[in-house]
Amino acid sequence: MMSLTPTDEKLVARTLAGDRNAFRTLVDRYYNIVYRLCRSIVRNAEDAEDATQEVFVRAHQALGQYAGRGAFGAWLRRLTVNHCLNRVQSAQAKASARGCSLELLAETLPASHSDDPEERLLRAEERNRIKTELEFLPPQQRAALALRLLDGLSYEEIADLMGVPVNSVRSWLHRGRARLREALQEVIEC
Amino acid sequence: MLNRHKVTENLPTQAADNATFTVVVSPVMSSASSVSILEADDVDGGDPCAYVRTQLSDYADDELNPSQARFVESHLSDCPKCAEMLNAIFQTDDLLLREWRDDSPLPSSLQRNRAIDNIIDALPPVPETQPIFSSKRRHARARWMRFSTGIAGCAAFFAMLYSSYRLGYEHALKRPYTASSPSALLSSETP
Repeated sequence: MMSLTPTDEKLVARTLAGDRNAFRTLVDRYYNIVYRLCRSIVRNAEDAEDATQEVFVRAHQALGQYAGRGAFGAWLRRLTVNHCLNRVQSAQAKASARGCSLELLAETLPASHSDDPEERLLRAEERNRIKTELEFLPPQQRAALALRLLDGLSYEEIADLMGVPVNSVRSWLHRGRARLREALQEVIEC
Repeated sequence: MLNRHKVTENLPTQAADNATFTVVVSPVMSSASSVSILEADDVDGGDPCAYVRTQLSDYADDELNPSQARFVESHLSDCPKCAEMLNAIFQTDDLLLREWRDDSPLPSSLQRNRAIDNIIDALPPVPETQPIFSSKRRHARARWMRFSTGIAGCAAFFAMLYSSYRLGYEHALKRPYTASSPSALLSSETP
């Protein structure tokens, strides 16, 4: 049966011909994927939204360089990872280390998972701990973990996407997990 | 999706840190692949726990070759500490997934549509397409450059040759009459 949904390549070609609606369809198709990837690499939801917007604008500017080589999704993911890593690195150069304040703790309270205030506070502390440890993780390790866990990509796919050897990916995942495991020992129930 | 399984079942009651490790290969396993079987003595320093712990991340991601995976599995069934470490890896992964997926929800459809509108508004009216030369095209372009340089070189050479000829000719016209002078020869031939 023929599919009526246009392929990514066709949408890219139409965008290059000046059809903005075609690019809108592409953005709509990939928004969640790009947002989740950005969210896992940058600090917070607002930064992730900004990064997502920047990624799509950059993708539109660089669409001529894509030229149908490989899958559009992989190309867009590569663009996202590179953009977010640059963003995080420039932000790290500017920002000083953030402390754990009560405001920050309150900010991390989940919406309404539980009515029990004690449980909510415990959960918030746990989340705060995870967020803090994730912030201390080098951005490459965070990106590799996100691509592996969120997108289920293989080591080879991650290496190709990040433009590094497979052994670097292997090492980042091993070190990232080891570091988080040690830091989150109290949270992990063993 | 990820292959997740816990290794708490069927663990021996006593830790077997210092036990001699050998890989038990079932007939099915041995006939299934021709990959060489990793022995405990093959691992670095003969310490299977240290070796297995460096492989646990790859094992959790199904990225080990069959021989290594069998060795790790065999070790995990005998070593509760390493099995516990693998479970800790799975739990860490679960915590990360929960943080990224469940506790950080996607924007609502309204926010999403607004964000997409902002993206479309931020775009230039016409996409900035840079000219792309495919390998063949790039080759043709280089060939044309070489050809045009050659043509220009040849033209310069002939221009130089002609100008030197003209200079020599005019110089000869200005010289007084001698028998060997080309102008004299020319004038002598004319009636």
